[in-house]
Amino acid sequence: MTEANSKPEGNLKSGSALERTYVSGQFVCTGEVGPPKESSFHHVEMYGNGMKGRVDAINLTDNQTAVTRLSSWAAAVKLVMMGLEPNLQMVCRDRNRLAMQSDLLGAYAHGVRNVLCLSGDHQAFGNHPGCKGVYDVDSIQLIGMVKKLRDEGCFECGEECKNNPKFFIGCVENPFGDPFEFRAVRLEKKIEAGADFVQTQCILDMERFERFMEMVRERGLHKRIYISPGLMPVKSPKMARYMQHGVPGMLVSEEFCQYLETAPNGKIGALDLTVDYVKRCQQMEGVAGVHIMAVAWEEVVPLVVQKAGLLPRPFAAFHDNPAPISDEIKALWKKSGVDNYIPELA
Amino acid sequence: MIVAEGKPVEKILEMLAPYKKVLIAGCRGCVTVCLTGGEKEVGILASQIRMARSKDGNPIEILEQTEERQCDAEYNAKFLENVGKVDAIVSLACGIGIQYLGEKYPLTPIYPGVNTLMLGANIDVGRWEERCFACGDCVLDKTGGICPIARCSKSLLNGPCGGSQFGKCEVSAPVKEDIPCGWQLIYDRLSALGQLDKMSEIIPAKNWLRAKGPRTYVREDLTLDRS
Amino acid sequence: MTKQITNIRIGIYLCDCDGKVSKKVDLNSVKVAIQSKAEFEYIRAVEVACTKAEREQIVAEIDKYSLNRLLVAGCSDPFIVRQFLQLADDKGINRYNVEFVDLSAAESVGAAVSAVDTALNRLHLRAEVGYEELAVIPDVLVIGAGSEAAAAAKAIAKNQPVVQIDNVGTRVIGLDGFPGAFTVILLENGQTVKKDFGAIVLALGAVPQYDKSKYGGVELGADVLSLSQFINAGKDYAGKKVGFALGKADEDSLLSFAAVLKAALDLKEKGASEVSIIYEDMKICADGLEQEYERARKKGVNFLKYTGEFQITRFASGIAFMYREPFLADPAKIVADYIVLAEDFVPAAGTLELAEIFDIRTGPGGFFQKDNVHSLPIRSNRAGIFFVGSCHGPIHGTDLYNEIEAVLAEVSAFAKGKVSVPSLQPKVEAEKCAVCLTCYRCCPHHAIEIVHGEEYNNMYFSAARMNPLACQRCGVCAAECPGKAIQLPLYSDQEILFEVQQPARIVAYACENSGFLASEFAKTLDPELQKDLQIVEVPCSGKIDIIYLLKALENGADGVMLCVCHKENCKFVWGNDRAEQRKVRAQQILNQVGLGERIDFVHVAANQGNQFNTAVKAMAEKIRQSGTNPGKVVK
Repeated sequence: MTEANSKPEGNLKSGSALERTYVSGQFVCTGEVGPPKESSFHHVEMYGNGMKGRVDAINLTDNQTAVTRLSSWAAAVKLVMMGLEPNLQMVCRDRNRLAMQSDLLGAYAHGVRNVLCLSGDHQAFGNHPGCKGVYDVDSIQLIGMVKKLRDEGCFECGEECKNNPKFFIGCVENPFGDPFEFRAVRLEKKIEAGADFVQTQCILDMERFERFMEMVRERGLHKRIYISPGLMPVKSPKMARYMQHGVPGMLVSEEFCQYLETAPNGKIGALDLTVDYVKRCQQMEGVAGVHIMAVAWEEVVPLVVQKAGLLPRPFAAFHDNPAPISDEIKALWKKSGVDNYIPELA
Repeated sequence: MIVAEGKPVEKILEMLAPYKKVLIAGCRGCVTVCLTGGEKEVGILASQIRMARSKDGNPIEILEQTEERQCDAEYNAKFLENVGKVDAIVSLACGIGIQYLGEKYPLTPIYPGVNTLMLGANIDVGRWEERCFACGDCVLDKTGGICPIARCSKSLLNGPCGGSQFGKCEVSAPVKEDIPCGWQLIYDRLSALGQLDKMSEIIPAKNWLRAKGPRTYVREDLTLDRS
Repeated sequence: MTKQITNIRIGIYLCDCDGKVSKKVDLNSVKVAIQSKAEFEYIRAVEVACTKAEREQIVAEIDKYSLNRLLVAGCSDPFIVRQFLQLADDKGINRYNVEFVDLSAAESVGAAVSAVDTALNRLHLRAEVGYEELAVIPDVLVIGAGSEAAAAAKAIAKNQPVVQIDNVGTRVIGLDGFPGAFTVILLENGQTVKKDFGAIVLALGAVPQYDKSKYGGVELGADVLSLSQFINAGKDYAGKKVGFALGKADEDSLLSFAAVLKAALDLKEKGASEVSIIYEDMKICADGLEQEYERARKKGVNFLKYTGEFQITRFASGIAFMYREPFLADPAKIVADYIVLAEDFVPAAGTLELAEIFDIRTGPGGFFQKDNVHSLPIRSNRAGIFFVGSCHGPIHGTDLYNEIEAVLAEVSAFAKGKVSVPSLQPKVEAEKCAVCLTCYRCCPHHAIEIVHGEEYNNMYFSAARMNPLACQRCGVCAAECPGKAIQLPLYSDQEILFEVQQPARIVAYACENSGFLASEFAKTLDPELQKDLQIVEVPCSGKIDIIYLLKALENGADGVMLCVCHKENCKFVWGNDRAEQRKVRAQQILNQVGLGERIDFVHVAANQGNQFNTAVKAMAEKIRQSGTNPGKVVK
């Protein structure tokens, strides 16, 4: 599978481990690494190794919150080289269709098989607020473009693409965005455009997510796309409150905030709550997996995954067993005070 | 209407530093209507610059003149006499007028006194809102008469992004100003029109060729043969 | 200086005021100085201009020299002013072309010459003010269903046609046009109809509303009645004891007091056994009320003063007020068969809707009209729309008739179907009008329309036009116009900017409704302070254009003041707010180029001479700190 242009087997669209896990019907678990604001793979290697064998694929965010970072496709290629399965995020903010398609060709040639298509946070949020946002295509058009490359073997313009990339196509949806009633319709549009799986905005309000899933099931969308809700261990109650009021597009339930505020140990509480949410998602009809997005706290993904009983991973990309935890990760656990969360790992 | 805002005076003073006698040229078109570049503002800017230069011990003489439209050569001809008397021109017309007046008098340096902002509507005295992006390929038929190119911060064509919440665009937070989500407006309008099914249609990637200049528009049926 | 009108022929009369002026200033020297520099037709020094002989001579001179503008320099006594205006009227000289100069304050020939010269220039700059004959619709629409509306309609009907609607069955849904020619859009039996009226009188009245929270939660019932229930019931109370309570509700109007007095007298006449009125303060300051009160006392009505709260308590023998008498230690009690409680008055249904449709302001309690010292009781912020009765705050009977009289005087101006008014509304130079709607939107009085026609020489063949009957001459439109297309007669930009060509150290633009009057008063309090001060009178602070502030400074003033009416008390709705916004921007303009704090914005009422002087001192201190204005442009 490390061969760059290998053909997907059988009925698979891309043949990625992520696709195989979804298709096999087993509960999917993905992780996420935010590439650093420096010209170094150190963080990607460290967190990637920590997640090795514990998740089915690792998202590489694309200039997350509009802050310049090491490019997502470079980080994705690094993971491929490490024998891990990347899920390449691609936002519409920074590149036009020309650049996007060229990056897709390059990434695929390097062995990247999953791509997640997003609009991207507006540039005004980031560290270059005065930069020119591109938005040549929107996320739905991007999905269509990746599908066209894969299924029709041609570029967005219609020109033929030889050795066309065959990606497993992901999209995102925010159950907390408005108009709420449109959110399921928007997901359906993404399915129509060609999305194979969806990872949602992090769910910090289960009740609203359940209402979203009801709408999804009413339209039968869960039978047409694999759905992985995003789950975020939130480091502190203060952070949760901030997200409740200060982050657009986010809804944080009172229950969530209060749980963290009353937990005897906030950090442990955060992990427990995430584990609890994983279990609640497993019970939910139409949910195919979870996406654990520990933003700026990536080292705890192995803890959550293991505590939630998601191990072993069925198609753990290239290793049957979880890799040993590095001392560096363990030191980070200690720093957060979660080193004894799973004693046998410490 | 074209909407412009006055340029910070320190920038204008910088531009005018080398000159002793200038003309401030106003326009009775859009910039008068948007209260930025009519005869009144010409007078205010002239007075401000005179005082600023007096203060610096470097007095400047300023002529003031406002004509119909700086985007028409015929009206720009009226500035001839005054242009002949000055070292430079500051135009308070929109970017079109500034350039076009400059073209008329290519040997006199011309400087912008305004920043041209948008194609907008005058909501009430002192408030303007963007409505059109002049993208050259109107999609209002698909979006309930509300433009997603001009009114969605990301110019999305297939509905709101995940940042739309409580009717507001996500950009409201970083810019600290309430910006309505354009797609929420479209959704509400289509809903009122009973055309919500339009929200389900996938609009293909836009041809931006006509949204970007330099653009020219020619009507062969109207052009004159002046040879 | 350029002449605006070519055939201006000015006659100048320098009056010695029976020797008063020449004590300090030699009038002949003034005359010689003026003759040497100014443009005019005729000049003469006069001993006493106000004698019959002099007047006759002046009349003869007007004919002889074909004078069409007059300048009278002397004592500026109101009597003289009136006399000369009359003389001008008689001779067909427009009264706006007569200028007066007060020489009594002049200390030197130079000062007197300068004052006369300034006035002379003003006369030269002044545009001709014509008179307009306008056709108007005599019909008046009275809106309201109650007795107030009926009384108003009846009174007006003696002079001119009246239509009265209740605003329930036939409802107002829109308004177009101007005084003398309003088009009211009505919903009549589900149909939209348009009807034209010259004037509109709002007489919606007020309605009583019992508020139990003011009476400790007491519910109305068989023996506890609200005042309106009591009056409407008209029952027989012979042999009964009735107690009235005043002062807890409707504290501000005389309505309840008057109604209770009348009811009490009536009860006594019809044989009620005991009538008591408990009150906190007796309010009888209206025609006839005190007599009623005295009559009631004589008839044996008990008046009992309470202090603080009172309770209403039921006993086997009846119902009682338990209250505290201000001078007695023990609680007091009045037992009665019936207790009657005063109510509050609230605006009648439809008040708010009509306020929105007509764009007239509401004030305290949601009644029509803002709480503004400049508002005449019956006038709204729109000419031609008047209030009568309790719709602009509960009023008592005699006041109602005064109001009806006043409204009658206003609307009867239209009774003959035509009016002649001086054409003092702002004039629009069509070439400069961008039809931007700024004036239209900023006009506090809905006095502006956009008119179209070949004669409007601009790309739109359109221009703004101010209606002479609706316009109240505040000048807000002229100050807002981005194209400088609007000039207010008597206060044109040219006239005002002329005054500040060589400004004093401090220039105070002063509203003639407040700041200007205060400045006149201030002069008498501290004449020394006025040395460095120049007052420029404007009809409203809303007329103070930003360029006025800047030009005064550009021409050499060190500081500029805007002396305006108190907040919420602009005679023209928001003129002072606009002035404040402009002051903020003008100061920003100065700050941007480092000219320092040089503009003060002062709320001052007409009688606040001291405050005016305090403000002048503050301004002087401010410019002392900021230093001499470095932005002065040396010509």
